[in-house]
Amino acid sequence: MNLSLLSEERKPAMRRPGSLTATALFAQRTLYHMRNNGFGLAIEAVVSPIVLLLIFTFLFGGAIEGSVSGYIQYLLPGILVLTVVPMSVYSGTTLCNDLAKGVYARFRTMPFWQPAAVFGSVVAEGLRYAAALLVVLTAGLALGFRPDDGIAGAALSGLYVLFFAYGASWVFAFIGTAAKRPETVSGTSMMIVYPLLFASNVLVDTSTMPGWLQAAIDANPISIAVELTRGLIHGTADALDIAAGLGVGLLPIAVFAPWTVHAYLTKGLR
Amino acid sequence: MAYVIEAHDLRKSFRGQEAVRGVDLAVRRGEIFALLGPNGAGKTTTIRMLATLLRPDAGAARVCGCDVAADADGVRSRISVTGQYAALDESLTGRQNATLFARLHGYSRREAQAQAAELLEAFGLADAGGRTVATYSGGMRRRLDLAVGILSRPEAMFLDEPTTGLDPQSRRELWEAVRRLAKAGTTILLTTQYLEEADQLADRIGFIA
Ligand SMILES: Nc1ncnc2c1ncn2[C@@H]1O[C@H](COP(=O)(O)OP(=O)(O)O)[C@@H](O)[C@H]1O
Ligand SMILES: [Mg+2]
Repeated sequence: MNLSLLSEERKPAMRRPGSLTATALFAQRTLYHMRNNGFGLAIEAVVSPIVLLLIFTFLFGGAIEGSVSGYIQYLLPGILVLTVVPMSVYSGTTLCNDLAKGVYARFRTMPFWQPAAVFGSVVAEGLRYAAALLVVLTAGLALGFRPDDGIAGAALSGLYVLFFAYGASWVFAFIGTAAKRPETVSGTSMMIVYPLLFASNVLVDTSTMPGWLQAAIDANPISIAVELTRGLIHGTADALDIAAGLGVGLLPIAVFAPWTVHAYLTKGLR
Repeated sequence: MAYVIEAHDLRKSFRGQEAVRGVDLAVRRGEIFALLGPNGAGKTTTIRMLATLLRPDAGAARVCGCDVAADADGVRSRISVTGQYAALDESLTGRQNATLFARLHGYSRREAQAQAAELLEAFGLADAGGRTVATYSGGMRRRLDLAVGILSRPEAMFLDEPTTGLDPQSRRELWEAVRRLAKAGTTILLTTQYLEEADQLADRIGFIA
């Protein structure tokens, strides 16, 4: 073994990375994860959104609306949310994995800006969300979806879903710092996500429901997000929709981002 | 600076149970010090306190001239820790791990790649550098762990049971790597459950029970 690189004259210059550089490095690490697991990414961001879209379009489109092309105008914005929100659970799994394995101890003894480990991975996750959004939109267009507000509406609603998913990802990131094992994170998170997704207006219009049920479902944050997504894509969103939609995205960020970073930084330091 | 690692009466309890009951030790520059003790003796807890990963309940410790309680950052910038389980990202390749950690230590992109290549070569991992760590054997992980650990040119290294679970061949290779690091001036504190290992490898041995 040749350890000549340990000699003093070979010592390279080291400059403590700034907070932005450190965050970018952790984002890059998440990109490497995606690249190393290209198959998983393809299934999650391409295959499963298309399958979901096909199932709901043809099953519910035939049964509920009686016409596929009519129903998809209503359905597609909801499917954007339905696809991306479960993907945001991954931010919690990554954090929990780091905390459960020795790699956390190494990060903690290195002199870089520590919150970068949390922010970097959350930021890079956005690429997966964006990929899935594009896939769903493209598949929807092929099936006859026509956004009333054209490209601008589609782009705006895509950006909004991205923002909402970031909000959701902080909830799961927090669960990731609280759980002991990564499997617990996905289990717990899915138990929160799927009831919320299906007890919402993703698949069915709430206006035909009894009053109390309608009120409950309209108050679901997923419904609020879907309402704004629909409004943006079809150009019907009013100020109230926008305020409520931004609120349900910002709230989890305001609450869970600081909480997550704090939990991460103090983990096991008692 | 007389000693690189010094501890006086370090103590730690978990929920009223004493895990570490007053550890004293002093290690000189370039020495290999083995902390020998059975499972549950408090070896990992001691290392975690010395490496600023855990706050002691009582006692004091200085590492590389910095107080672990008052100047954790000073300690952190001068040491490297290898936990009982390899401190690596399993989903990254060996090369990606080495490059990422080099960049986090503040090397330029080019320097990080050069360092990664040289370390993988020196630790016999050049061929495996493109595979994810999840596919590595225990010995390969340990060697990569050491390689990544010396990126920062630490003055002191803490190795927690570095050879537990390794086959005899990998164990001897790791011992050799540790000896060379010490010869290059790095102070080493390692833990082990094996008297034979402490005996073969260490300049001095401390018992903990
Ligand atoms: N985070 C913790 N919470 C509660 N008990 C702990 C914790 N870490 C260690 N212990 C306990 O402290 C004792 C010493 O543990 P440890 O330092 O891991 O020993 P060793 O590394 O020598 O096997 C054990 O009884 C262990 O169960
Ligand atoms: Mg131990």
